[in-house]
Amino acid sequence: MTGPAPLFEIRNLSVRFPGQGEAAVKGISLRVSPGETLALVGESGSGKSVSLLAATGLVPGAAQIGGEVLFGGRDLLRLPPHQMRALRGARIGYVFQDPQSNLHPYKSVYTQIAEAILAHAPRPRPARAALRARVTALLTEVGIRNAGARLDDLPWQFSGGMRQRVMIAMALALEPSLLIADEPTTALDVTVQAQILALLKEQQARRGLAVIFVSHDLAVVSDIADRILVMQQGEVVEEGPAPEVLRRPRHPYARRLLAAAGLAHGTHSTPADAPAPDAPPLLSLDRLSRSFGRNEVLREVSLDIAPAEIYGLVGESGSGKTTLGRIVAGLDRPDRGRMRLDGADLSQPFTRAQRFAVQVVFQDPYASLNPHRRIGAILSEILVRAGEGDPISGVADLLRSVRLDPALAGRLPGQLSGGQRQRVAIARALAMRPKLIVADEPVSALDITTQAEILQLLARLRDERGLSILLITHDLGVVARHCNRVGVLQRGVLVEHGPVAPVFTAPRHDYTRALLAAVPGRRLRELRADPPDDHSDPLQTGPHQHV
Amino acid sequence: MALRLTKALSQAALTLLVLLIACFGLTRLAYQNPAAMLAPRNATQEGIAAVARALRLDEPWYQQLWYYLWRGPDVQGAKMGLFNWPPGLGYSFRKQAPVTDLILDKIPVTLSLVAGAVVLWFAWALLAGVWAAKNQGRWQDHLSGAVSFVFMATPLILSGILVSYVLFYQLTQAGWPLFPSSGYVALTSDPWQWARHLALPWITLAMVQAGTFQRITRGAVLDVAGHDYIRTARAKGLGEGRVWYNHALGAGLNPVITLGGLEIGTMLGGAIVTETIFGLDGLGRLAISSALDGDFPVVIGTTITAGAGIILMTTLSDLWIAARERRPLS
Amino acid sequence: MSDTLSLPGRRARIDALSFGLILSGLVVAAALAAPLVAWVTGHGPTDQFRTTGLDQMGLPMRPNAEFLLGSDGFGRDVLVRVLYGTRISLIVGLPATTLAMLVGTLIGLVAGWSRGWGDQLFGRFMDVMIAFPFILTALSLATINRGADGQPRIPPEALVVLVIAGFSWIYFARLVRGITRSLRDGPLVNAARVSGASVPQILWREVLPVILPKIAVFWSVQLPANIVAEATLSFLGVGINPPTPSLGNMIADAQRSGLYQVQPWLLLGPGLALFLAVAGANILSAGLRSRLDPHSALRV
Repeated sequence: MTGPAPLFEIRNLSVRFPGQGEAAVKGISLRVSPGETLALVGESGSGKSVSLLAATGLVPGAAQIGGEVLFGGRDLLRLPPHQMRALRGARIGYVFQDPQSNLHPYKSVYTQIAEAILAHAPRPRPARAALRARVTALLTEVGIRNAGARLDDLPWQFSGGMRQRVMIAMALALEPSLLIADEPTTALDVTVQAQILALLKEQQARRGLAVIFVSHDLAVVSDIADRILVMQQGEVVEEGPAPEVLRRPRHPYARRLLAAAGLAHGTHSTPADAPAPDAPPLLSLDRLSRSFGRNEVLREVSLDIAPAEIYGLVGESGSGKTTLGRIVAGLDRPDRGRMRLDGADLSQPFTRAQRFAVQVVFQDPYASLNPHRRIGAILSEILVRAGEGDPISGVADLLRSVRLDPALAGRLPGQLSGGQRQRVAIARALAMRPKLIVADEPVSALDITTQAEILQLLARLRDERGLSILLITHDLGVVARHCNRVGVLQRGVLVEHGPVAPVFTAPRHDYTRALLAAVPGRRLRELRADPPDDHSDPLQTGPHQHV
Repeated sequence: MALRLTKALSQAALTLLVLLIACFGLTRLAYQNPAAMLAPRNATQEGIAAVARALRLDEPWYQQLWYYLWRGPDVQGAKMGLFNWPPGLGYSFRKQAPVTDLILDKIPVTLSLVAGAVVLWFAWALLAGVWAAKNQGRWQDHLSGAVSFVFMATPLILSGILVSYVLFYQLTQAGWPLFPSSGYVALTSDPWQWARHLALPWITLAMVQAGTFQRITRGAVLDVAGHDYIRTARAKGLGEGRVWYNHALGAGLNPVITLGGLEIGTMLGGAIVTETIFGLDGLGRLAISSALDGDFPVVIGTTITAGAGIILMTTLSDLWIAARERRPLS
Repeated sequence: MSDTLSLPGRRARIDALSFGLILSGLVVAAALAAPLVAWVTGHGPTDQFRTTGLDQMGLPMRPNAEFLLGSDGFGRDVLVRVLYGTRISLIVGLPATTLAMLVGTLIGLVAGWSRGWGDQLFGRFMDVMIAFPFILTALSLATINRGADGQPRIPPEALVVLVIAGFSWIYFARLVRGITRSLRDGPLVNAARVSGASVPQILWREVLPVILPKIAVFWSVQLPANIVAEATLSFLGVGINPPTPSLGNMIADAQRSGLYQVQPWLLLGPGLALFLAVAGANILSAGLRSRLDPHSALRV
């Protein structure tokens, strides 16, 4: 490999946790030079985060770590703890995934940043006034307005994006030469994600930083990486310059990741047609409003959902999309406005038939399935309630209809994978033979390749059973791929709605345009517009099905 | 904020009023014939009836309650009811003194006892608790765990006697009269004697709480030790001492504050056992002796004081947590 | 991905649960053996042996062949009295804690599920309950319990059980109320609601299984506290009254008479029994917690 001498190099690193048979990281090697961005891509459990934490001494002592980690010519794994500590925070900066959980909840942002500076400051310590000025300058530099007045605020008093800027200011406080950014935009809204990526790029250019960018999402990575390294089950399966990996990935796993990224973020392909405009709507919402205290969450929202369509409801956090879903599902009631289902008034408490007709798939299958009960028991209880005569064969039918092995009925939720659990959650909703399913971010807790499978399952249920689905999501790519129509919510107001293709190709509202512009993977889409003559075009390869 | 504070205060006042009425009812139920208890030992039937009439004990209970709240007994023309100004808590039949004065007289003793114990107890609990958490599963953890289990399993009635036997009796026998066995010297008159007289009660009272709170602290710190912001603290290059004693302890302090407030509040009403064993004339002894004597204005007064102590401390700990989180009181 | 930095410790050679079980088992066995020991020695718990149990000065005997732990100031057998006292500790502590658990769980479930004024009312009620003086109430109730003839209307043990349960259910209720509230609007309960489950079904199937291990752990946390509460009440003379032996009134007796300086087992006997009973229950609760509720920190 050519280019400048590497600043940071991992050679044959392995990590094994006690009590676990297989090593979490199995001899990986990587290098990154000043000014370069290396992307480390893989799904959860691939060992991408663990390897970087282990390399810099942030994995608890019980883990067995082997190999070499060179930073500026010194082997970090053989450094005494106090010298390692002197590097962390000073020469190596970290930005972690969720700024909410990564900032101390009871310390002001000033304290947290000043602490990073003081931990490495030579004595005498800088004076308080000088320190405050320095922290203010840092926060201003990362784009926090009126930083001087916000020094003593706690992290929760900032928005998600601002918190991540604080995190970045903390990482850059001491002019590090290496920045490790571990999923730094995953917890953020799409427009905020674009801003944070821009900030990282800008800071990298200004400071000549070497950046290691860890992500599960090739689309995000495609916008920022110089080189890409794909990890699977603790091993590096693919490595190369970004355009090359994105254009012609060699390893099948890399191809699957790429296909999933294309599915998730392509905004142009819309296989589903809008339903006939004159069909009577299944669900009709008429000027729904809802407030919590003085906070008006929904304002006069009106929309119709036709039979056998997937209606995508998009918006960023705080847009009111979840509240709308809860109202439709009968878990909350509107202050004003009315709902109709099949022409009949739908209001709380739902009639028995209405209760069966509207079902819900929740975001987190880990939290919505009772961990103490077996899958078969969970499903058969509902079948009995729905009046099913033979719950045992009913359970098997249900599991088959969500492409699960009926033998899984004997398992506890904890013994299933995330994707399997979400399939069980869908089966539970189907048990009532509903007409409408409200699915609130049904895939955002899942791995990216699993996401595609679950979404395909929902689309298939729509086609096979004539189900309507209200799909609430933050991800425009999901809408483009699977929805018939789309509604865009901004701060409680439905600013735009209609069939997907016209809305996405010619958005009328500024907010829709801003959302579309912020969708990551611009470079990926450019490469796609210019496909290689290779038969292995990643975007033509369907997602791999495992049942 | 002011509105919420007003709400908290009015809630506290309401709680105290309900407490007072409940306590009034309880004493009326418990003492079927208080006049007989209060009258001289060899009083005749007429004498007892005269006492009852003088104290209005022959009227229905609601009139008694009203009289108690509104006027209280007239002592040399001054009304001493709760709704007068200055509010009073009535007049002690036995001690022939205003209840408010009796209580105010005892508060310095109980306050001194609690204050010293709290310092010892939290110093031990926080240091040892974090130390154990920091060394989870190692010998330090087992050692401090064993100590805390011994502390927790030695109730006050036992530890008080043992502390007094070893540190007073045995030391004095051996010619080292470091600590007196009982008594109280006011802080204002002689700080050194004050501390010397209170040292053994402090140790006793602190010991039993230190064991429990050491476990709470350890648990609370371990609860936050897995959180991302602890990793962030290490990623900033902070030392392990600062990571545990500052970041982890700071993040895990809320349950310690809540439970600590409740325990301190309970003690402010009188540490009855400790006061009994060490002969300290505090609120606890006043409460129990008046209850045994049937001197119910004092019983109600000490109950209200104890309730106020609990409400004060729980409100303070709620306020402190709200201030830490910069959120309004919930 | 290592989001949690769990630090797996080395396994202790004997885990807390087994140690606690052994210790508590010994205490229970001792309490059960009390009548047996009384029968073997021929010393009832309140029998006074003024000739063999006291020396010429009228002072208690130190341990000897007839009185294994010596005798007290009335010439009674300390060992037999300690065993009977332990029995009282358990006879009061176990039902009081269990009663408090049942009442507290029921009220906590209802309070946690209700919103608006029901919730408010419960909050205010708890404020009053927590501020209510424990020992004073015990004393008042003991007075009420005395009938016109001076005899108790209900057995004093039962009264102490009621008093202790009356003051400790509140902690169970608070715990259960908190968990129920956190589950009430959570995905587990929402999922059950949309699938048409009734409120009792939700409480029974979704809420109770989450609560049960926690209240089981809390029961074992509250048990030693309630054993201590009985001893303290008896120590202050408002619980189990002499001559019925209780660990608390035996300790009070030893302290008041000062005879433990002559016959240390007057204090050591009941003291050690109380220590072992409380320590056993504490260690048991620590073991139960790590077994049943490993993810929650120690919340007493």
